[in-house]
Amino acid sequence: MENIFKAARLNASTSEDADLAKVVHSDESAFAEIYSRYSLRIYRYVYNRVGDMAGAEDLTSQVFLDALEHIDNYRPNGSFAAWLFTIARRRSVDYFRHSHPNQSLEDDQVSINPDVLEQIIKKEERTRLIKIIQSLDNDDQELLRLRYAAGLSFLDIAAVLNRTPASVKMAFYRLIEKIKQIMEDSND
Amino acid sequence: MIDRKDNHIDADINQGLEDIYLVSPRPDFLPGLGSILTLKAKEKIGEDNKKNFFPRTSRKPLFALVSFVLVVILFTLFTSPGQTFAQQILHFFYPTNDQTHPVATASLSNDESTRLAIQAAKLAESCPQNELEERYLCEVSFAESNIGFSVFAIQPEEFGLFFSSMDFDVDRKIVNLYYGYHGYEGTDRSIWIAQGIGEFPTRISAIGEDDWGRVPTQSIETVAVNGQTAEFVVGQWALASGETQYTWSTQIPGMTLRWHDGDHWFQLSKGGQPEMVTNMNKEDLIRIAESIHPSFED
Repeated sequence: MENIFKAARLNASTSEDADLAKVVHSDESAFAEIYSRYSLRIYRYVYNRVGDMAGAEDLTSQVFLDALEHIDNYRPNGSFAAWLFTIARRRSVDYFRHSHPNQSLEDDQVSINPDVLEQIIKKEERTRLIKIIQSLDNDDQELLRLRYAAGLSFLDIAAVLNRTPASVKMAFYRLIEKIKQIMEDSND
Repeated sequence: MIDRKDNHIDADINQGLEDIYLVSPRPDFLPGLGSILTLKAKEKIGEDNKKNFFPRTSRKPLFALVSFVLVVILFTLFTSPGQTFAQQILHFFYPTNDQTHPVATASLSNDESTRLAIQAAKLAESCPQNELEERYLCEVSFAESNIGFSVFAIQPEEFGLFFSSMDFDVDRKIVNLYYGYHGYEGTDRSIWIAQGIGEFPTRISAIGEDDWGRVPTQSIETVAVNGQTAEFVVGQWALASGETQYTWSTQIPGMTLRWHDGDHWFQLSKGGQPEMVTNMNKEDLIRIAESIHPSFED
């Protein structure tokens, strides 16, 4: 039963993020540091939402420009990651509204890079997993994106989705259980 | 690779999800964007400096805070109500000079019994009963989602314990976790962690008995849990055969520890079964207390 529970202490990087955000006004290297910590995670998250590289690059740029522009709105007692991914989420929604006006977000499905898909498809399990993800509703897909692509903690996901951490955690483990069950059923 | 820390998730599923979601951008994209944004940040700093002739920070809030703290200290040290207040907030048990304790006559109302029974049924329905590890995680998550605060728990295996059961009271905002000892059948509630938010309630248990926090003054020992002041008590109220009142007994080696951590209160108790006597002492109990942590992952 080891490691079921993990301490939710604010880790060093979280408090460092808040410190960095405070000095963005006076030190450009602070923003560079924030960028280096989050750019890949933001990219992965938006890529998994929009499904094409050009769109993901465009969105990643917009997210950081927004963050730079509105850094005054960030409150250091809140999670910086949650604040940044809230911007990313909002930007992704706008992207769909403007670029794909006829496609509703409820209908969108997880987008997999064809190159990555080709590598993954070699393994039958991965292929089945992708199909299962594609069959999930948008809320479940978003939960997986925030957890795996963005690498957020339950606390941060809760802040982004405006839910309680407990309900997010419960939903996540139920979702994993559901995926596991579907995979087992398809084995039978 | 993200440190997922999801050891209880099926490894294949976890790996599969990581493979799917951890895509890489073009190699030159992120560094290129980083350079552009750093230049933008530099420009913004220049603009901000032009706008701000005065320093951004003000000392007024700090001065107000220091003044407030001084007033509170003076009030606490030099006034009678202040000293009473300090006494109340520093004590986690409720000291008494009595050596006897009346048997509780209050019992749960029908409404309360029904409410707790429904809660327990929902808990059992929502969480798997076969797999202990999953049940532990699920039940704690279930309590959290109902009660509205983060539940702190232990990794019982570290102490030779196993998770036995839990209950919680949504109205009174109390969660009770129970653990037993491996190798000792029938010790399912040997270790009991009760917790809640705010001040210690007079009644913690959900089963009708009350006021167990009232203990003889001389039994209270001040100790530390993770550097925080805590109170430790050996002994418990015992009802001898034929008696109509509980008597405080130190012969029954029950131990209880109470402390605050942030806005949480905690009570960690060890039952007094004879076979446990040699297994645990004050230091062991404090070690368990110091390992209690929120169930949320980083």
